Amino acid sequence: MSAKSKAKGRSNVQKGMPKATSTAPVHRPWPWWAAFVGLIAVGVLGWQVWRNAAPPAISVNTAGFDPVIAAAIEEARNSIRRAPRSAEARGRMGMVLLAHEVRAEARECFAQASAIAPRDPRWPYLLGLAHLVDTPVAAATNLDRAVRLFPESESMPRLRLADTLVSLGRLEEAETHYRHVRQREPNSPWAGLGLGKIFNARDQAAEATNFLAAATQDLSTRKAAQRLLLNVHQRLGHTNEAERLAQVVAGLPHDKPFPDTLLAEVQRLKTGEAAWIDQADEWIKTSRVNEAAQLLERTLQTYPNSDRAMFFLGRARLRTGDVAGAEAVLTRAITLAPGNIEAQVQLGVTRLRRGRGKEAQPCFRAAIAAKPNLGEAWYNLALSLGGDPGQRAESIAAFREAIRLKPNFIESYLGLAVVLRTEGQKREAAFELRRALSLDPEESLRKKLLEQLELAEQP
Amino acid sequence: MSNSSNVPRLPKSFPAAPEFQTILCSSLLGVLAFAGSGCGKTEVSLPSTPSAALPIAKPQLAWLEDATEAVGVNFLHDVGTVGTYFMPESLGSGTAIFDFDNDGRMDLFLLQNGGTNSPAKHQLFHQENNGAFRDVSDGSGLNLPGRGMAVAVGDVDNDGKPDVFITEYDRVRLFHNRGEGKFAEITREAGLDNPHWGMSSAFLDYDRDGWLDLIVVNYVDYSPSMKCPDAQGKQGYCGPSGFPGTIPRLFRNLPNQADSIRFEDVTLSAGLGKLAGPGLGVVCGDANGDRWPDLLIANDGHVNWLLINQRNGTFTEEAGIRGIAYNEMGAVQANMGIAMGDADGDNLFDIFVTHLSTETHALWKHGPRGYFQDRTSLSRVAASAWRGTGFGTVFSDVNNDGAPDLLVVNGGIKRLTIDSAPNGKANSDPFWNGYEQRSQIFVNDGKGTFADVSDSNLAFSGTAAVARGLAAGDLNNDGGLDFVVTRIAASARVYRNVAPRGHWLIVRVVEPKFGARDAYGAEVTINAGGRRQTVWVNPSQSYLCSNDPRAHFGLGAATQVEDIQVIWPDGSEEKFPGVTADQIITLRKGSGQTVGFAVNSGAGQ
Repeated sequence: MSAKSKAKGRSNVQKGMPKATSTAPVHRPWPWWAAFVGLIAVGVLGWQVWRNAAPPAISVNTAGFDPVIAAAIEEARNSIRRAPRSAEARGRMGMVLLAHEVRAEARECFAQASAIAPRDPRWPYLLGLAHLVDTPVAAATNLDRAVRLFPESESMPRLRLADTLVSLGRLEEAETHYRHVRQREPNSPWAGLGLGKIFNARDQAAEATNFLAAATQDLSTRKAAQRLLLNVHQRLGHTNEAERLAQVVAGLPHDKPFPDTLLAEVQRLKTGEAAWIDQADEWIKTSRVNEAAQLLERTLQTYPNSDRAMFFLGRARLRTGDVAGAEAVLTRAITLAPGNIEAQVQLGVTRLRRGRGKEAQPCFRAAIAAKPNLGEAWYNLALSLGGDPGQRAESIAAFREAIRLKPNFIESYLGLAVVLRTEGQKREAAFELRRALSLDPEESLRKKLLEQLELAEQP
Repeated sequence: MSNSSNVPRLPKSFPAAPEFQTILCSSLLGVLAFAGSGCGKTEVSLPSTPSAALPIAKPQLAWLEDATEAVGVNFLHDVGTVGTYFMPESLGSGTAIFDFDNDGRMDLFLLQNGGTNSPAKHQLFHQENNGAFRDVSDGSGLNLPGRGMAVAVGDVDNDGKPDVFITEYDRVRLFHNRGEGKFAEITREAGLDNPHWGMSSAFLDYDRDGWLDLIVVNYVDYSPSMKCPDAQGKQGYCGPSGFPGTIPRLFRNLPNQADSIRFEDVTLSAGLGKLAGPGLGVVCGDANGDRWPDLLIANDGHVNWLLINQRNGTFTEEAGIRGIAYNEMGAVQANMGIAMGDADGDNLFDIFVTHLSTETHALWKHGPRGYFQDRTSLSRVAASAWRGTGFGTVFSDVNNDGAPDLLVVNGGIKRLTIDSAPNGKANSDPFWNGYEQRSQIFVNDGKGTFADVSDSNLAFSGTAAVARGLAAGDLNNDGGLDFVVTRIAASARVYRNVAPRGHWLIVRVVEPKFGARDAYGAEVTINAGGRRQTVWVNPSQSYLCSNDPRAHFGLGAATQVEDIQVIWPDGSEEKFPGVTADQIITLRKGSGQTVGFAVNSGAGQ
């Protein structure tokens, strides 16, 4: 206190305070002590009230859900019960829900998490993602908020926002964001692709081409960029270049997904039978068949009666060369679900591969009974019958039905021609082979057709 | 959506409070954060209202009213017993607006999807003199049950009476119009065999011989035993990705078959045999200006096909180089329904294709002739307040201002709960509630830029439904286009045009040489009020539907049409004198003044 204020204080005492008596003041320390205890009590009470006043965890009706998914949701709810004021717990539940497309409730979770931790950019970002499906305007608003909360160096949310704005036709706003990213990362293929989209939409071909150049070199954006370039050249009337690019695009694999770490985290939370089978299917397609087989075996431990898992396991085992194992699991699938057409065909094909055509036939017949217009089953039935002289007439009829159902499947013509020629019907065989050749087959198939045609035309 | 009042709005600028203040607020006053006030509140954001940047049109007078009950259309769509998630039931059924008895008033035909054992049968409604529709299904030959998908209408034997073709899950059926409201099935005799899951189809005269041929777009080779659980592990409807696509089928109408109607499957010889895909929509029109009809097929999750007529009985697929295979973002989307019309007034038809709610619908502007440019962003058709999974769609000049507006009907294929719809939900069976969405209307400013006016048209857009088919036509011949919407497991709706409208002209073009049937493939252009407008005659567009085959023109303030030009399906061109507005006229081929000759004519088949 300054001397002036001290003087002022004294003056106040002199004016308003009761005059001091000669008796010495009584010192009473207990009210301070009591106040201290009281404060602690109020604090504890307040903490309890504060803790318990948080809204309850979002309730989700999980009736009919895969039990593994329902359990994951329940576990996330329990985390909230344990820590009601935890934004992390609420956000985590939102992520679990978003992973399983329970979007309305996921949105509520992210909103709650955002209310608790308003400076955390993850929650408005994920809230934006949860809105993307049907309310893109709300998605853009939340993504915009997330962009402001993320550090400047973080490009991913800004690119996501920009893409959303493009889809809403808000090109000027989107351009600002793409340019912002490009300023920090001049070689960003996504920013280049985005700007290419915008300038293509504005009919500014030279700028679009310029921006797309980098994007055509990156595995994440290559195909999309080439398609856009195709558009640009087509607009410019560069027919030859457009045609060349159309061929290039047709031969390119899919672009790698946009590197969204938060979305990837959400995806990793996917669980349950469908998610595991989808993952295994993806691995089978990308030649990671051993991993797929292992995952499917684990899936069957949790879902021992899943004929879907068995079907995919059969497929994976076939790819690994375990034909006997494939047959065993497919047989089990059919025992559990005799109406499983895919498993019937797959089992038939497996047996056919093992040279047991006769045992394959019931599988194809069962598939045909369930789906009479299944060209694939007719074709395989015809193949399984073709080796038996006593069944060649039926084989020919089955091939003809396969052709009726799938006239674009050239192998059927080839198979039919072989059986016809074996039966001495060379002219008919040659007719079918010529029909097949008129369908412009691939080179290897064309070669086979021509070889067969030569044989059929021999006297 | 009208939930703006109960959600906090995002502040225009974010609080610049120091970090400690935020912490203080969120901890000491955290108890209040959820109670409606306090520091954290302003940060919570669940905005659903459109921002100021969006071109959502201001409220205006409603354009449509629901007249279903008033006109007596009593049709409840059936999909049989639900719960097995049989995929064909999720794609809906179409409708046809056509005049089956040539009395000048449009009638209605609506398809069921309950299967052959269902008691629910397709229904035919005749429009009476007073504008009411009378159910004349019994005895018509069309009152059959089945997995009805699409309907196409065309006079296959040139007797002047429109015949009916329907696609089903695993077959097709052709019904010959015998007159007096009687139809007879002639599928087998006519040589039509389509052992696939047929979807949209269209009649066209691709070889210009005067006989209507038929294109059938097929979907996937679906296997009913395939299970497609959704993300929660509950059974759901499959999408197309798990199944191989199938080829479209082209059937050539063989003329001069001595009183019999006969088609030949020319799919392979026409060059369509290599095109296997999940087709949903189809439209026919001369894309490249050679006056021969081309085909556009919309594929679900696959590139579109633009099949250019080579004038020798074959087609080549040129969507890629003509700019309509992919969208403007270079992506392949789930292409479903197709609307065809001149959005920007340049006398070339533009193409609008509907997509999933996770994607954006796409508008391809046509120009230069034969080439398309995706103008979705600039046209602002994607900038709607909400998105739905769109199926049926039409370009229709609802207010007769000379600029075709855009209508889209929506309905999910995956369960997606929506918060609410102003007029509630259409389905009484809760099974469908998760799939219901609201339909949309976009007004055209005349330059091809659109604004969402759905919230001003709650009769059409206020109810959530699993809508699929949308057909347009002037049902009451008052010059205003009316609409029929089909909805899965719910009643079909008839919407009457009550918009404040401009003047109008409806032109029916017929070919006397071919039984005075509608001239499918004709291009009708009028001059009125200093503006040229063109309409392409073919009723098959939208999704699974057949529309009013007459050409409708909105004239705005113009009371006089100065002249009319018609390019006929054979490529010849005639000019007809002007007429006063606000009437329905019929133009007969050969009765106008010949002004041009067929381009590339004579090639024939």
